[in-house]
Amino acid sequence: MTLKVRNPVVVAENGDVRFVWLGLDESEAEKGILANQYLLVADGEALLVDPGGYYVFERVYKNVVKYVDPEKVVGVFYSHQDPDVTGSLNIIEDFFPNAKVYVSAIWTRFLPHLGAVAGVKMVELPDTGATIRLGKRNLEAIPAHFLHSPGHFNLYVPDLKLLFTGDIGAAVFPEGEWYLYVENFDEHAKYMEWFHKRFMACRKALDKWLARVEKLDLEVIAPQHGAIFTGENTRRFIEWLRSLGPVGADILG
Amino acid sequence: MTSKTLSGNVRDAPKAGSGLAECVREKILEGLPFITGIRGGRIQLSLSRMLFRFRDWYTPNVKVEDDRIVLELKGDRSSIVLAAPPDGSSVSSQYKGPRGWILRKHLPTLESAFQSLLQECRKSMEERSATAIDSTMEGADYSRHLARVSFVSRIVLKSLMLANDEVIVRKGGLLSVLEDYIKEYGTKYRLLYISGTGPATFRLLFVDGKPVGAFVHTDGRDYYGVEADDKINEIEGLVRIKVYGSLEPPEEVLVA
Ligand SMILES: [Fe+2]
Ligand SMILES: [Fe+2]
Repeated sequence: MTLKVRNPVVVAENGDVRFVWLGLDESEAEKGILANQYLLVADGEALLVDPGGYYVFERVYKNVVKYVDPEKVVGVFYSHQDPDVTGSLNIIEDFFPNAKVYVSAIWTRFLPHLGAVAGVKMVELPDTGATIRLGKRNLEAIPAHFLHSPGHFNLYVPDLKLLFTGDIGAAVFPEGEWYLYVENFDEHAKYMEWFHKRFMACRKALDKWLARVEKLDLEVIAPQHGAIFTGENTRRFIEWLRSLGPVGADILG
Repeated sequence: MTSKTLSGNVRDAPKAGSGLAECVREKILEGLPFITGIRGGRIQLSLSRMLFRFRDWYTPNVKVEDDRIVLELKGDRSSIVLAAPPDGSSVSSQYKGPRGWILRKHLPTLESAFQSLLQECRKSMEERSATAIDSTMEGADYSRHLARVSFVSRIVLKSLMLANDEVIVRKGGLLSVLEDYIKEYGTKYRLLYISGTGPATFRLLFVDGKPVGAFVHTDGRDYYGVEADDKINEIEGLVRIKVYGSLEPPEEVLVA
């Protein structure tokens, strides 16, 4: 079976706030590093979260309009600058005309290379983080720099006790296998290890992030790659990161 | 297939049904809702009701039985059966297993997904021959294609962005603005795609300077071709116009 799931799944819901996973494509170039795209809906407005590249855009668009009109998509949250996150920026402008782009201040001068994006309103996220308003809710852009990108943000949704972690929590599935929710944490940890050892810049960055995230009330952790942690597994994931030892530049001889 | 003669039923129905069954089998992953896992030919479905969640891994099996297409999902702890005649009317469903009160809430969604899956398969089997004619350039009209995200994204992907301007347009004045772009770029780029957002959304396509498609979305309605042309004339206000041009042969970019 090819890994291609067209239908969205509501991951978390609380009153008028919903976090929706937007389906799955496996292209050959991804080599098992599947990307998740999400939509956060609050009080009739919506924010796209790491909507991905050109090749997934049609599915993303079709699933978004199942929940809101395109005009109601008021923002796009980019955790960082990578092509698997931002690749479709050029076309987003055409299909979601009212969407502002939230991205680290260090990337706004690079994103125009994806094509002229003069019409896109960029909101620069300062290194220290920011509050993003959606509907009647406040969301928090939490710094996660150097994990792996030097300008990397997580998004915390207090109403759902949900943290979107960008590339943190990424997993590489064995061929032909995929699941949306982590059920067997120990098995899943094996799929995460290589990515975190190779991509995360250094232990110091990870510790700084852990210190901040440990204070959050968490029920769901949703990464851009791999599977979603719920309940007890959110705590296990954080513990796993703490005990991971040296990563990235720490390992260089 | 709709023939009421005995021979018709015996000869035609199984043949049409088995093609459909094969298509349904191929499209299960695309068509079924609630899929949250794939592993070695099995799929996981997650269904929730209030704070409760039910998950199970299923082996899908599609077969033709008594002139009905049947999708059987055999799970570790439960089983779901969806069945319908080939035209997708009157879908029936059956669930066996624990937590029926969660599952029952979602059976209508599964039924309608199965119905759409059947209808989509029928449509794609019927359309397969029709699209071949469409791909010739002579007298082609791509207006309806312009409503499709996949079609537009492919053009954008294979093109250069030539202009991205904000223009204040008076009523009836948009066409002359567009003409200027066509004059400027239409000779160098055989294929031009112009999109506009503002009071209305419009998408226009030109090959060798000649219009081959027009689409307008305004006041919650879609307009195509000549009707779209009329609507473009009515647009006024602040409009963002983007012009894309492709140097590749239009026949290759505009594959339907
Ligand atoms: Fe990345
Ligand atoms: Fe990534």
